[in-house]
Amino acid sequence: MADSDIMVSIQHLSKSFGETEVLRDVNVDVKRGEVVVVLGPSGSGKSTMLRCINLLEKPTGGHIFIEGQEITGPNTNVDKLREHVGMVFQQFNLFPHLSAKKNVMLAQRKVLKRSAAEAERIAIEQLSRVGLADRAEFLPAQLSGGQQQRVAIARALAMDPHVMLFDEATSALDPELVRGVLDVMRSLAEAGMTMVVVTHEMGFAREVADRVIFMEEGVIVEEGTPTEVFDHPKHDRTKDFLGHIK
Amino acid sequence: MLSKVGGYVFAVAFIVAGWWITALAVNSPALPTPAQTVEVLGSNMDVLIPFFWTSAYRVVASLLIGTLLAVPIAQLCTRSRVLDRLFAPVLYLLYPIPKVVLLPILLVLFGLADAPKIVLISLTVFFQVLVAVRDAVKAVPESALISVRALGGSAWDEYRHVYVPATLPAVFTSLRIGVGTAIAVLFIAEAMAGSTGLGYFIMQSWSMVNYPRMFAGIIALALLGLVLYAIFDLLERRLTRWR
Repeated sequence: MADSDIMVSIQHLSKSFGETEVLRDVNVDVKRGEVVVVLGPSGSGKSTMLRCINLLEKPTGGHIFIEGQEITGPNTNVDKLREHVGMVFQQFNLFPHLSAKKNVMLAQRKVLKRSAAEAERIAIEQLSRVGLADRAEFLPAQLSGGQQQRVAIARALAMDPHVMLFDEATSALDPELVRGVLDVMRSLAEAGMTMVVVTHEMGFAREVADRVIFMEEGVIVEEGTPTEVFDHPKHDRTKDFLGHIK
Repeated sequence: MLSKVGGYVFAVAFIVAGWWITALAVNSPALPTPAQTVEVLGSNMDVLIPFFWTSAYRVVASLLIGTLLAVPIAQLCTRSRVLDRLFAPVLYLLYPIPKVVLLPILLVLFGLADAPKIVLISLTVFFQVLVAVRDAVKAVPESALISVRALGGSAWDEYRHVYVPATLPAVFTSLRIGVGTAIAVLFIAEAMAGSTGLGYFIMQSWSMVNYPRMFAGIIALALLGLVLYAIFDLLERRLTRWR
């Protein structure tokens, strides 16, 4: 894996929960700065694949490399790995007892051992980036779902991730709040962040993705540019899925 | 703030008025009027105040012991599937047993002073807090832990930043509810054995047929409950401000 352009390389990844095979021989390369959107019906294994990238799920087989380093080997430093892999979930899970700013500061202080002043400076910077500088002192309960999710994104960004994983980041939001979060994700993509995005937002996928992957039943059925996958899907299953979504 | 104070003033006036009317209607020495009670409260202060502190010490010590034992045990057991599986049936069987029935045994084992009372009330509090905290820990969503893990947090971070904030409200709720039970158990324990505390004072007055004095003891015990409840309520609001 000498190719320094490859940020994440997933090779022959498989994952089973007991008898159930969730992922079968999945191969994906994500280039630095690339935005890959993963589509598929629920239960297709897309979230599990995402969770394997920062070892929240342990792969049953195959290899994953991040920036050329194998993370599926026996001697992986999981904490070190997670410092470089930011993740945003469907549930925002902010710390309910901490202000937005403190939410963004906490992991910087505890995990990266940054000074309070530096962590605060970065927290404000990242909150501004997601358009919430004026909400820094608010508690999560005082923020809308969309704002909470944007704080969660700022919290992940404050760790200086080299790649960001989004696991259905807008699925738990009311429709009118989705746009604000997608706008933040779009601006991240434009700034050159490497992103792997699991989503049901077809408009976002079409507009922002460099590459779209369609998964079903634990395998990659089809992949290509948004135009290829959305306008000229080759597989019946992809057509079927896109037909249902529209 | 002013309207809140006003609310309490009204509530006190309402209760005192209701008490007064009831006392006049019942017209029994067992239920003196507020005016008579204030009088006996004053004349019994020399005994009531030390007994108040004795009772307060027993309840507060028990609440502390019960809580400090229950919280870590509940958190530990819930986090380990093996422990929880072993422990849950035990808890299920022991929780509904009224701990107060153990009083005679405790009196034999620990004598008549503070120890049997503190053990008994601690036991009562222990189970109440244990059940509440256990449920609170179980209600912590897996996704909250995963978020901390994804940020590079350790097991200690999960405990400190997810479990503690998630269980604190449950601790206080069970304590506020527990105050009532704890004082009831205290009363029974003091009434049955020993020669100190408000429970003893009340039953002693009762056997002397000194009903106004008895009622002064009842008021003092009620006051103890009220003060403790208010303290926990205040602490809860202070420490769980985010809710």
